[in-house]
Amino acid sequence: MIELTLVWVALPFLLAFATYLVPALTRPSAIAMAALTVVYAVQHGGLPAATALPVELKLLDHFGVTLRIDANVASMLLAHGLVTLVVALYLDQRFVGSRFLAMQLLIVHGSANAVIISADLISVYVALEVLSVGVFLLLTYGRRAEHQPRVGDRQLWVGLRYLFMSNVAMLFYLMGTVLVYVRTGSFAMSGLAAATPTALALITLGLLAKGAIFVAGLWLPLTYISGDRVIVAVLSGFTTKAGAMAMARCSEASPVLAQWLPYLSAGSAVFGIAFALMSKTPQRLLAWSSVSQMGFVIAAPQWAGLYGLAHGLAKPLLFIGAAVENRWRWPMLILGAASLAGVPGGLGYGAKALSLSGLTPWHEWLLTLVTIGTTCVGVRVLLAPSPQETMGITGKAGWQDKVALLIWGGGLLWGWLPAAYSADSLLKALLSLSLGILLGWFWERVPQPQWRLDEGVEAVIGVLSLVLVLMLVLFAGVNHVALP
Amino acid sequence: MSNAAIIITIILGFLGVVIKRNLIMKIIAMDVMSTGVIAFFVIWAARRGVFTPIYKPWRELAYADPVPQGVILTAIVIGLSVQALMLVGVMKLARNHPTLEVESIEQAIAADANADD
Repeated sequence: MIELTLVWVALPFLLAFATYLVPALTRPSAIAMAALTVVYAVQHGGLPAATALPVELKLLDHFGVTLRIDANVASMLLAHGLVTLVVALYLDQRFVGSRFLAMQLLIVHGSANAVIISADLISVYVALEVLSVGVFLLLTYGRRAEHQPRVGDRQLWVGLRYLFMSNVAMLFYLMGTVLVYVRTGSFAMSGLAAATPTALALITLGLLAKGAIFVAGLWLPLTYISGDRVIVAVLSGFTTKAGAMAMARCSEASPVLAQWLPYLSAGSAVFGIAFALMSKTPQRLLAWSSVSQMGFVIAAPQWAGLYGLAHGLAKPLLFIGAAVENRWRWPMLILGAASLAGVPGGLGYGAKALSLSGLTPWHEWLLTLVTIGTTCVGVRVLLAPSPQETMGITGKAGWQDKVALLIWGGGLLWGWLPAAYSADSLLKALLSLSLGILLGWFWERVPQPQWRLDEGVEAVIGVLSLVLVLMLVLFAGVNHVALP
Repeated sequence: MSNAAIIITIILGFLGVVIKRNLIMKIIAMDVMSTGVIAFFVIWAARRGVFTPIYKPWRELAYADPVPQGVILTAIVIGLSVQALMLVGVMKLARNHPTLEVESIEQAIAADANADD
């Protein structure tokens, strides 16, 4: 088992570099790697309601450097595998540079896997930085057909903005890491329990920015609107969730962070949905809704993987569904929106009900209210007119859309979680669904205020300092309360 | 003393990233910040001693901790590669925005985005 894990962790990078020598194998190897991840995840209990023994790998004389794979992480790995599988199918010969993109996809896939299985701070840092470089290249390179112009300034700019933001945030994270090391003599996440508030605040800032949680997710909307739809499917499918998952793991080790995580989750959910409701275009609606959904992912750390899986399959379906024009558009949009809103019967409902069931009452009710907003967003995406220009996503045949619908949509329908079907959860889901659908139907007829945030690079980076100060105040404040 | 200098370097770098109007200056400011963070690691590693961590049985010295120093090498390499990538991106942007003023780039992008919305 240990050998298999080691091979599986290293393989995507090995394949990515090997395909420089044999370019023809790029796409097949991306597909094979994704399939391997799916198999690996299933074996480690990634399927909903499955369990498996956690696997832990420690380096010799390790200073806390550890890999840990449990059922929670395996669910996220399943999402990585399924999203990569379908996205690799979209990168076919009709587009210039699709081989380069498939290679970057392999690297992004491998580093996202590494982030969520690392149980120490320094491996998370390295993997997150590799992830941001891969995402930058995916974003700026973009897919283009033969007749389309070269990569636009807009993609280049959002890519640069992303790299700026993530590099600055990760520098803060690095400072937190050394503070933890100095205190505990190891980089293990368990050392966070003894960390100073300053170290905790710095580490939290880095992970919030990478996970696009709360106001640190200000970079996300413009990036999602400007990027190629297929690339955005990767971003929304698993790259932001890698940061959120690392956050959930840290909170399991640190009681101070665990105490404040619900507030961050609620803040992110409300912040995202408020701006989603004020948005006009389907892309913008979905992008802001992603910020709000990150709040749900970190709401209950023990269910973060399952929620990540449900959301990681629904969002790519919606992003790609909103851009295609053939007859697969409606099944894609309906399945994605239903899963996002939590219609009973699907994986989205199960994940949401399980996550919300263990929360404190105020948090649970707030997130249920946000679910009404999410349903409203889903209805508005369905009602939105179909796109004028399709960004060249598919041809007439659309066999890739069929496969996407089959794999992602099938994954969403498949999960049967008996534990989620309590009367209480069902009642809440039906109530929020009916209210949300009504609201969505009448939303266009209500005059709305126009809120626009400054999403410039200064705002995106400046917000980081505000979040840092906020975290410092929160974490230091708790310690004062805890003192006798 | 050196601790305070390092913190000031990091803060100055961060301020530069936020305040400077020119893209190249922003990238240089980010480099200043990352230099500060590297020095932060080195100074914490030398907390118990400043001698090179090479063990010799006849030397009874206060050695520096080699682990943070080893770890920061990774961060230096990552910082370098990120900056190289960003400079390539800036070179491409400079074709249409030769001044590289952030404000003018963002205005052009925003006009483009509004046309799409």
